Amino acid sequence: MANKEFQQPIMGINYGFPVDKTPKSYSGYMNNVFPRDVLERRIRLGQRPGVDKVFEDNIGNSYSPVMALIQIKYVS
Amino acid sequence: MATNFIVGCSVVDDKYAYILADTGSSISIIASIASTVIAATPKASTVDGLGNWYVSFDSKITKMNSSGTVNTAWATSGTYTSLANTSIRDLALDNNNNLLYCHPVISNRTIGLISSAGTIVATDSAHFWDYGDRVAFAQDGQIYLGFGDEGSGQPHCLRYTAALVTDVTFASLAADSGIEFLAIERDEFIHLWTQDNDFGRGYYGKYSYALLTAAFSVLHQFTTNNGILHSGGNVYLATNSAVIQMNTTTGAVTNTFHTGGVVYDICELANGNIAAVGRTGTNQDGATVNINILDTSLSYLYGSSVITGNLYSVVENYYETLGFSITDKQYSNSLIAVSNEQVWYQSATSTMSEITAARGTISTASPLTIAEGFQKAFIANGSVFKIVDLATIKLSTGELGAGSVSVPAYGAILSGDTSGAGMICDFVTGKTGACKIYGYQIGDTAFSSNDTVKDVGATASVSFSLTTAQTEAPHFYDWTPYTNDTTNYGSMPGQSYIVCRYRGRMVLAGHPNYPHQWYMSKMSSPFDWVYGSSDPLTAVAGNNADAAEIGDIVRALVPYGDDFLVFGCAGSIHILNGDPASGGSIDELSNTTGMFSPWSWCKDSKGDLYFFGNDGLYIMAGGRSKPQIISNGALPNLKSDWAVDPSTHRIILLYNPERNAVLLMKTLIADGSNVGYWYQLDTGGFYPCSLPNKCGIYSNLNYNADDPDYRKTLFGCADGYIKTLSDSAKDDDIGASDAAISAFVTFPIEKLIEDEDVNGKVTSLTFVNAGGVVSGDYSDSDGFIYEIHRGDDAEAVLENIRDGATAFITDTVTTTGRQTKKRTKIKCNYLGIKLINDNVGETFAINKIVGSVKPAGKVR
Repeated sequence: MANKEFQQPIMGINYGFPVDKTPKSYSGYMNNVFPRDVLERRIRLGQRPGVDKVFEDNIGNSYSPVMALIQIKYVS
Repeated sequence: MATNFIVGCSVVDDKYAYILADTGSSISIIASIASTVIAATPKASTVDGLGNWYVSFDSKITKMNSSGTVNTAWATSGTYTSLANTSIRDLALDNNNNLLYCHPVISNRTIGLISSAGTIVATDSAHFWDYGDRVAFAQDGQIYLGFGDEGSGQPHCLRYTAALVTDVTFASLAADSGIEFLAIERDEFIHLWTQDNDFGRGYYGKYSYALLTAAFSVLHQFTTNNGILHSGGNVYLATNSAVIQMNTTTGAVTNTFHTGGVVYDICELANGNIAAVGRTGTNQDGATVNINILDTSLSYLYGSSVITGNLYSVVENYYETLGFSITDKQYSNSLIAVSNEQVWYQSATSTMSEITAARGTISTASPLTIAEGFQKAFIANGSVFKIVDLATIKLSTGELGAGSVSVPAYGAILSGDTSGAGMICDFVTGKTGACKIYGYQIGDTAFSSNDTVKDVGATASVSFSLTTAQTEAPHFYDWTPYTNDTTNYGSMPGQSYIVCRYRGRMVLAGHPNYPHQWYMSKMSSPFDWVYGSSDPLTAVAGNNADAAEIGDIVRALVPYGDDFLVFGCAGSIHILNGDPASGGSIDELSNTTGMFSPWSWCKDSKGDLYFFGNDGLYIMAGGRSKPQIISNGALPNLKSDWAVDPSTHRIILLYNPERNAVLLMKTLIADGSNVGYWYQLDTGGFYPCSLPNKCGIYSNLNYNADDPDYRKTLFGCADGYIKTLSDSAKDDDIGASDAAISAFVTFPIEKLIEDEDVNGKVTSLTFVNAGGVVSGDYSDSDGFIYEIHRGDDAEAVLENIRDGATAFITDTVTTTGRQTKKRTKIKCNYLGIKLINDNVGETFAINKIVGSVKPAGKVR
């Protein structure tokens, strides 16, 4: 009886190798899992961060995409 | 450096406590504490080594940080409430921030010990308590209590930890006597003031640490309210009419400062001076104040009555501020966003507001890009060119060109005859008739209506009157040549949808009739488009320069400071080195790939350029080396899988500096549906991702906001909101509700036993989830579902997982840290593990999965 650690696919997705020849640091099927976790930002697999509003204002007052963003630096 | 302190007072302007600054010459108010926080006159306060402030009022104690914000993590939302119903008289802290308090009344929990977390540890009601109760901690943690004992009639001082150690009765004093001051010196001596009920006399005593011997006990004829043992030596007492200094060797009075009013409390400030507070009185130096700042010899330095009420407590405040103000900030950042033919700007830290003048003037259905420069945003939107301007003021006149009135020149300094206002002229909309003049205001004085504006640079003919007072930003106006004078300031291209800033020039490209052409304004003058003059700063275009036009259709402009400009074209990449009006040249870097669109590139923190090209994701090291494809190894079918079409898809690339990754997203323009890859620069790996349609990304920006809370990688999303990735968000914001993130990962398909013909058997699985123990310092992972798939060959196992076949085992991990070993009986050749979470409000991270594996016979 041996203990076997199942290696994390920390290198992400890879479709480039035959499945049984894929290096052990790759996954063949994943989504929304990133290599830096949101808990401590360590390099380990974890669910991706959520998407959250920065401003509560609805730009354009409608269900219409925000097509451009830019910042201006100015002396006021 | 100002030395601050906090006073507790009778109600003044509906407040009971104020943070004050001692600037070295005066006293001023820094902040007040709302009466919803401190709801009655504070009677005692103390500070810990970090400047946290504990203040008692009525039977409550509240902990605040040095700036006056309640520390809600302490006790119950920052406040501990004693069961006794009278005011807490004294507070003391030990080195571990355990807090001791006492009430001057016979009652349950007359004294109490509160832990550093704010929970009650012990109480004592075994002794009689009355007026004059004090508490103190020694360095060794032992507790000293001083109190007046109604039962025996004399004051006591006792010392104890868990049990009473020593109890000294001051039998020479009358009944109802109390202890008004208690301090411990280096665990060697106890200093105290015992005061009898005659008021007007008391004893200053110095005792051994064990309270067994008295160094002295000296009678004095005054009434004391409080005292301190000063770090410079000497005891100072707050009395009914003075501050008294006493020698700690003899007990003799060495100095007296008459305040003219009752002194309720004193404290030692950071600079060693003494703050004495109480009732307002005219002191011996003739100042009528209720705050006296004294040096250690009790010489009066200055005072104040900035708080008008009676001041009952004072404590040093470690929240020190400079005695003068410094303003390092010289400019601001503001965000501009475009959606639904509207332009919005960041009008306050957390607020975006529409610039109503822009509504309907641009077409968000047509390609549109924006570039920042000269304190403005320049919009290229086909035949529409606009400017968003937050920096200037606007003047209006109808007199330009009338008679001999000349147009102010670019850079002219204008002044208002009536108002005395000044501005530096930046842009004028026309040469005649109703015109607008934009410029940078000089000073704070505003131009007024009917002001006569003149050029102070002696151009006498520039003199016109204003139809209205100056208009403040934001402004939105047409981007044209200066005064819209094409004769003297040239012509901008008729159409363009690509704009950037390079070498102080505004650069335009993307004219549908001249798709190979590029156009640059004069250096440092975005309103001068006279191409091809001999001036090296001249405006220049591809057909007027040695650098010449690009032979391919320009799709993107990527500026690199003053060094070079990358032209991303439909099927090639070119680079402009230097300045095209001064010896610059254009070279082709690649003719095997182009750049998909103006939105499909980004730079990382090293300046490497990433872009979506003909066959996938490319990198150009430093922005100027030949492009290399980096997606082909892991994603060989990306080109065919995505089948991107510029007419239906927007490809967005963005660099997220917080996480050192590039996000490549393909968004269906029609509805925001999307797929993408997270390219982690640390690992060099690709991680598939998708967002809800409402979070589909159409634009992005790494926003260097003034407020660090807004310094984020911003997404311009399908639903009209500006969003970002948030580590604390476990779901995706889709408006009224949140959408769960459907996250899963398949671990590498494992051959359990190396011999191809031998099965393995997994008898147990141990999951170690991220987070260590529940709660604790590290954030905890939520649970997840795991599926175990098995098969005779690896591809079949993965295929089953992808096809959603029923797993051999499905179970859950529900908490953080190492899980109880899962007993299993999984016999197979190849094994696949899939972790899944798609619950709202949950996120997971995994440390490792370990299995016990043994051979299990031949594979048939």
